[in-house]
Order: sequence, then structure tokens, then C-alpha cells
Amino acid sequence: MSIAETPNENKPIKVKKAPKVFFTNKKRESIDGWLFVAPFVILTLVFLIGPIIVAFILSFKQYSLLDQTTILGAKSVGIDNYIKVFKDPVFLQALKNTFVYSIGVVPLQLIISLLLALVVDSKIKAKAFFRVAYYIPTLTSIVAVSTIFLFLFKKDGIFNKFLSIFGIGGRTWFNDPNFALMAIILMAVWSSVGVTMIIFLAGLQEIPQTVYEAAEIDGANKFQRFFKITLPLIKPTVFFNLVMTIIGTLQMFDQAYVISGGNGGPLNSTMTVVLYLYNKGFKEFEMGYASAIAFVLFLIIFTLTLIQKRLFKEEPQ
Amino acid sequence: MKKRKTISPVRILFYIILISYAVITLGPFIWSFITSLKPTSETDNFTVHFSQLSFKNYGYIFTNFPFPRWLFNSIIIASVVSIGNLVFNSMAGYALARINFPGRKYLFLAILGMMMIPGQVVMVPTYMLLSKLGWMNTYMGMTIPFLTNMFLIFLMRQFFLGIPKELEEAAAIDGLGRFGTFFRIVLPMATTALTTQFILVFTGNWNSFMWPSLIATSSEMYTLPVGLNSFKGQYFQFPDQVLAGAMLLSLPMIAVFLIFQKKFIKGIASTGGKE
Amino acid sequence: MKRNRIIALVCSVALTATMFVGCGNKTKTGATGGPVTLTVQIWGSSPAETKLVDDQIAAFNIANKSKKITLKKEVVTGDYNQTMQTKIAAKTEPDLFYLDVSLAANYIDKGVIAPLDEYLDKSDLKDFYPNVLKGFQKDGKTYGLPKDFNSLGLFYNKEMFADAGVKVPKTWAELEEVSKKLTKGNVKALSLSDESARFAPFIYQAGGKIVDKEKMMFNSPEAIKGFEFYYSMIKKGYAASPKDLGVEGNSDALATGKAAMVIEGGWMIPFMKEKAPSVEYGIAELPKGEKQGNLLFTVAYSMSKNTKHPKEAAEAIKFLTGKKSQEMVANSGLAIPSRKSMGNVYTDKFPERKALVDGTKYANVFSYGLKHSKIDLELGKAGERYRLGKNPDGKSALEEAIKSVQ
Repeated sequence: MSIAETPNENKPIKVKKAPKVFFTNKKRESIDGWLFVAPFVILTLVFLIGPIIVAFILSFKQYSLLDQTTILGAKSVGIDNYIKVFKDPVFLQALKNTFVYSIGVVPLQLIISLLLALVVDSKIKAKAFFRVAYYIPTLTSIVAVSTIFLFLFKKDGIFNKFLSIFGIGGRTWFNDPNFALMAIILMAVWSSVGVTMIIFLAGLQEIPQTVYEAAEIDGANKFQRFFKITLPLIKPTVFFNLVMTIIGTLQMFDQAYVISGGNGGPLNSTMTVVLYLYNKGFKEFEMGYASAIAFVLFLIIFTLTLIQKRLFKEEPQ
Repeated sequence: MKKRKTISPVRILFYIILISYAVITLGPFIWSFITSLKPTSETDNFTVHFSQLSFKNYGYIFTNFPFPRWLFNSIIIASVVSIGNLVFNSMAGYALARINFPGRKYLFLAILGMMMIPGQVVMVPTYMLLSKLGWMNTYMGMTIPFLTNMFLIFLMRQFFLGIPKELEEAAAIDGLGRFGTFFRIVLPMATTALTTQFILVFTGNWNSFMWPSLIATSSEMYTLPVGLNSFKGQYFQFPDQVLAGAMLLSLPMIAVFLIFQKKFIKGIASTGGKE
Repeated sequence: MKRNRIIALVCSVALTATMFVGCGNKTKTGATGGPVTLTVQIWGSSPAETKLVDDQIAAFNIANKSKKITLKKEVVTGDYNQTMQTKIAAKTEPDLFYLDVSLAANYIDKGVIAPLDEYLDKSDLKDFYPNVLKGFQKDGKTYGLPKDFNSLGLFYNKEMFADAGVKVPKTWAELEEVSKKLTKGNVKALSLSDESARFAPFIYQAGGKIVDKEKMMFNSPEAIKGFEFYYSMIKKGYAASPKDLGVEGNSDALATGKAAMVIEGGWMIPFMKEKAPSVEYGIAELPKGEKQGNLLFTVAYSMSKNTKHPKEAAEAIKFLTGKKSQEMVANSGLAIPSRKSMGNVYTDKFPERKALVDGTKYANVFSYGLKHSKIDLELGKAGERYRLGKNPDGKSALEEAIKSVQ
């Protein structure tokens, strides 16, 4: 079991040994299992697996969307595309940027959203107001967000004025190759915190109040309650948010596209892997190469996720 | 129950921090709204001339575009997709969490894997498939491919892992099969999870732009984001017009969120057993 | 159930297989002889532009009612290039569509668009500005008819010029002189962005080229000279890139009074009208280096190779770029009509924009051949590097760019 057992002070139901008809009937289980996942599996096979296979085949070919041949008929280049990916300096730069971005966003976003969720879940006034206020950034359009951030972070903008209170010099954030990515990180955290927050909130709701009360009676203080009860009980939620945020950040496209106008500048500092493959596929007419880049990214993310899964020992019974 | 007569300074500081952060999150949104009321020449300025504010952009959108139709399309599509997702994702997530069926481990890994393929490369083959099916410019094309979502199956799995097994075992003793247990016992306990899922799916679908813009080729089939983007200039955009559109897009979402966030109550599971 | 799974697997494989067989196009209309509906695809644009196109389409439909040809428009609201390519790959592209000159070379090369010559009147073709039309021609064949175009001009703030007591610069030397006087405090004389679409004219003015028949020429001494002159303005402090001025683009710099001059195209006009109606500005021709040089931005109507109704589609293209439609363009003032015969209509109505039309004579279309996108990207990066000092001189910046393009 990956979560703590929920204590039952009074067990109103005597649980006998698991009835054969339910849990130990393997045939029944496997039928039920597959029936439950059937709609999802069918939809995915048709609308996702098929296209993925096509994209995979494409990664071994030289192909542009304007080509009048079919995908199978396009010229095959074996694993040349893949070799090219690993030697491509712009790809490597993009990979580095993407990792930096992810490392910047993930801890920041998870910690802030967890804190917000805890706060909004606790005994404060005007809970509804705060919940909406903290969720609103996810509803604000990316266009508006980037316009506002460009405005706030310009040379004579508010952010620099704020920094000058602490004696830190100002700079043109989005135009400086050393800081553009950082500014995008702040922008991304600002706009996505709401999503992970409501997921944490939902996870927190599952913890029964009685557990906390029992702990309080035993003399546990706020910190102990958090670390010994809350955190372990929301482990599945944390795992989810962690995996989801890592996958999401490693695939970042929209912010980089809007802020840099699509060129990943200044000086390739905001070029992410997905932006790079998008340019390769749609602007430079190299769709085969773009597919190869996508699958390399996939392999990297997949490996990372497997590692996380190991670390979290995420196995259902 | 003791009633605190004095409010500690820590508490005040606490509220100050909360409110400051709320200012940070609400600020840009409010600024967007004010800018949408400004005349175009004023959009870059910090100052607000209240006498010059007007709803002219909103009026323009309502009179010149089939806004009600777009709103209708968005509502229909987002609703169908949300309901489909709620049912299919929950079923799949439950199976992954609780049913021991062969291939379960690999299916979960496959799900994790598929989340990691960037959408941009599967976009074109998927589009080809949809057009071969004849689903261009139809509601089908904009709903059926999106009826399940891997991230949310993953989410539901995590939630179902947290539901105590005793309740299911009790149901089994009472003679309910898997389906009965799921629909009558487990699902009602997962209101919070379902609400979260609904908010995420609805918001995501409501705001989605790329697929509807590819599939809907005629103006009557546009969803809101697509329609509101259709009068953006090729070389530049006027912030006041664009933001008016953005406001119209987000208001229904805020309403949905307000309605459903009330459901963030502790589920029946929290009482720890049959009462 | 295992059986369900197998069925699903078979279904999906079958569906995937049909994609490869490439079974024909989706027909949009009935058999030939009956009424014909054509789709013309355009990108989303300002309400004024939309109205213009709607008027042109309406006129076409009226004129062709007896022949039972109807033209319907389809608006792409997202990324036009992305959507267009997706549709072409799925063979669902429309009969005729907007084609930007920067992509024309690739579309022609891949055989995506059909040559129009058999439907065109050779003498009528001469009415189009030759260097605008050239962007859509290859090996003597014409693949699209330009609907309008824009060139670059020097947009200057009249008040700032009067205050500094300077006149409109006509040469590089004058430009430098004037810029010195116009730079005051936070206000710069020029807002210059890192785009080849803005500094290429200077390369042309120095006697250089970007490409010549797919050969890279932008590391020639002349090209370097033009490139370095452009950026010398920034290095000497008379100019800055828009973001350093705190605005998003050059247009905003002029609108908010952060720069006295910008090099932009005719699209500035509706922009300034909305954004900064109180700013009085003039439009002048770009200054002369060794010679004069400019860029042309143009869009044509082209016809898909796979259309079921090439004859009718060609008629539509001819009409939409015909004299009547062009007159509407000229009167709307949104862009310069691509027919020489309409030039006077435009300048008569908008005399202050004469510089934009005059600049056409010595301008090149914004198209760098088959590798346009890559070259444009690398040139922009070269400019960025040179401006930020990562490359000590223009030569190394451009050499690096050439290497990245190969």
C-alpha cells in the first residue's frame, strides 16, 4: 500500500477473508480490468498510436509536408536523422535550456502551489476569494500574460524598480541572453501554479480530519503534523504533480514562441527542444528530422520518469 | 471552545502575505480588463483616464461576429468532452489502481510514455486521419479524439490509490460486482477528484486553440478562442481588442470554477467508515 | 477482454493503413458541368482588410453568377504556414490561397502550386510591377499573381525633426549626421531590430546581395559593409533595438516617441492611426548608399496543383488581382496595388505615401530562395551576435551565419 492505512476507531464492518468471487478470481479480474480500460484503449489506439507510429516511421525519412509523395514513399535515410540530432549544436543548446527551465520551474512551482493549497485549505477567511484569485492566472490568456510580463520586466519597468530597493541593478530581462530564460521561468510559474494547487487541494481533501485531531491530542505541533501526516498521505498527489510538471516543462513551447517571436532568441537562450523541432518541421521543411528530435526527447523524458517512479516506489497492490 | 480575543501579529503578517500574492495573481487579470476598455492609443500607458473607458470593443465583437454561435459551440464541445473524460478516465484510472489485470503494469508505463511525445509531431498524422474519416468541420472531429486524456487517467489512478480498500471489500461482501462497486460506491466518494478533473478538462478544452482552428474551417463551427482570434492582424495586434476577446473567453470559465470549487469539500472517505 | 483488444488492434491498423494508400482527394464539388464552388484560403486580418476581401469576393460572385461559379472564403486563424502545410500533407488544401513570397520558392520547387500561364493574358501580365511578379515566377512560368505589396520607408517624427532643425536624410552620410542630432537623452534617432527584413536593404544599398541563384552571398565585402553600417548606428549610440527601448517592436518605438525614425512598411499607417493618432509623421525613401535598395513584401493568390477546377480557380485568381479588385485595394490604402496602372490611383489618394511607391523601382522581393527561412533566421542571429558584441566585426558574424546555413 502506498498510503498509510486510514485508522478506524470503531470498525462497524467485520471484514471477512476476501470473497473468492471478487478479488481472487483471476479470470473475472482480467475481464473486468480490460473492460474498464477498453474505451480509453480503443480511442488511444486509433487517435494516438496510429499517428505515433506514422511519426516514428517519418523519423527515418527525409520528408517535408509539401512533398507530394506519401509518407511511406518518401526517401529513407536510415538513422541519419538521429545521428544528426546528437551532433546538432542548436539541439544541444535547446536541450540545455529546456533542462534549466525545467529545473527552475518544477521545485518553485510545486513548493509554492503546495503552500498555497495548504493555506487555502486551512482556517482562513474568504477561502473562495483566495481560491479563485490563485487560480486565475491559468485562465489569463498567454498573449495577455506575455504582454504584461514584457511590460513589467522592461528596463524601466516595475520589477527593476523593485529590485533597486535591494540595491540590485536593473536589466532588460527579455532581451538579455543571460536572463531571458529566467524571466520566462518566473512567468511560467506564475501562470501554472493554479493547476498544481487545485490538484494538491484535492489530494488534501482526502485526508480525514480525524487523523489530524488524533495527532493533535497526541501533542503533535503544526510542523510535525505536516511532515508526518500530510506529506506521506499526499504522496500519490505529489508524484503526479512532479511527473506532470516535469513532462510539461520539458515540452515547453508556447511561452518561448510568443516571447521570442519564434526564433528562440536572444542568442538561442530561449530555444527549447519543442520550439526547435517546430521550426525544423514547419519552417525549414524538415519534418523527418523534427520527428527524430521528438523521439529523442521522448526517450529522455521516459528515462527520467522511470527513475522517478523507482524513487517513489510507485506500485499499486 | 476558546475564542481568541486578540489577533496575533503573526496572523496579520500571514494575511498580508496572502493578500500580496493575490494581488500578484489578480493584478495582470485586472489590468487586462482595464486595458480592454481603453482606447487603442492608451494601451501602453500606466495611467487610466476613466472618462475614456468604454465597452466599445465588446460591442464590436457582439455586433460583428457570430458570438452566440461560437459560445454555443464551445459549450457543447467542452461539455461533451468533459463528460466523456470523466467517465472514461475514471474507469481507466480505477482499473489501474485497483483491478489486478494482466498487462496492467505495461499499460500504465505505456500511458506515461505516450504523454511524453510532443504534440507537434503527431499533429499532422492525426490531422490526416481525421480528414480521411470525413470529420473536418464537424462536432465529431472536435470531440471524439479528445474523449480521454492520459494525464487525467494518471490523476484518477493516484486518487483511487488513496481510497480505502475496506469500502470496496464491504461492497463485495454485499454482492456488488466490479461495475456496481465502481459506480455506486467508489465514484460517489471521489467527488473531489471528479471535480478537479472536471475543472481541468473543461478549462483545457475551453481554451484549446490549435485543434479547433485546424478542424473548424467555416465560421459557424468556430469555438470561442478560434473566433476571437480571427480578427487579429497579421503584422500586429491591438491590445485592447485582443484583450476584450480574452476577457470574454475567460469569464465563463471563472463562472464554472466558482460553481464547482464549492465542491472541494472533504469526501465521505474522510469520515473513516460507514456512519 | 482479449477479443475486444484484437478487434481494436485490427481496426486501428486498418485505419492507419488507409493513410498510406493515399486514396485521392476529398472532392469539394460535383462533376464538371454543374455549379462550381471554389474555396479561397486567407489568413485572419484586421476588420478593414477582411472587408476588402469580402467586397472582392462578392464582386466576383456577381460577375460569375451566370457561369454558376461561387467563391467561398476560408479563414485560417492560427499559424497560417503550419495550417497550410498540414492541409497540403493531408491533401485537403483549398483551390486557391494566399502565398507569401518568402515561401513561393519552396512551393514551386515541391510542385504544390500549378503554373498559371495557359490561363493568363501575356500582355496583361506586363501591368504587374516586374520585380514584384518575379517573386512568383520560375523558368519563365508564373505560379501566382501578387494581390498587393508593401515596401519599406523611413518613417520619421516631424515634430522631432523640426525641434532638432534637421531635414530628411537622403544618403548614408546624411542619415548619420541627422541621427547624431536627433539622439537626446533616452530618445534615440532610430529603432533598429535584429531582422534581415530590415537590414537587407542596407546590404543592397552597399551593392551586395543575400543570395544569387541559391548561392550564399552575404559574406561578400559589400554585404559586410551594409550590415556593419546598420549596426554602427547602434554602436555609436544613435539607435537601439526595440526591446532596449522598452517596447516590443519598431512600430511601438515611433508611436511612443522613443525613436525619431523607424524603417518600416506601409502597415505602419493603420497602426499609427490607431495607436498614436496625435503623432505627425512623414514617409521618406530609404537613404542611398552606393545605390538605392529596398525590400518588397508581397502575397499572391496561387492555385493548388490538385484542384479539381483549375480553369475556374485561375479565373478567380485573375479577378482578385484584376483591375477592378486592385482599384479597391488602392482606395482602401491598406497596401500598394501590384498593378502599375493602379499606382496613380493610390498616390493620388495618398500623396504622403509616394515614397513607398517610388521605392519599388529598385527593390527586391523578400525571398532568399529555397533556404529562405534558415537564412533569415541565421542572419537575424548574426545581427544579434554582432550587436551584443559576441562577434567583434560584421565579417565574423556573417561568416558564422554562412556556416550555419550550409
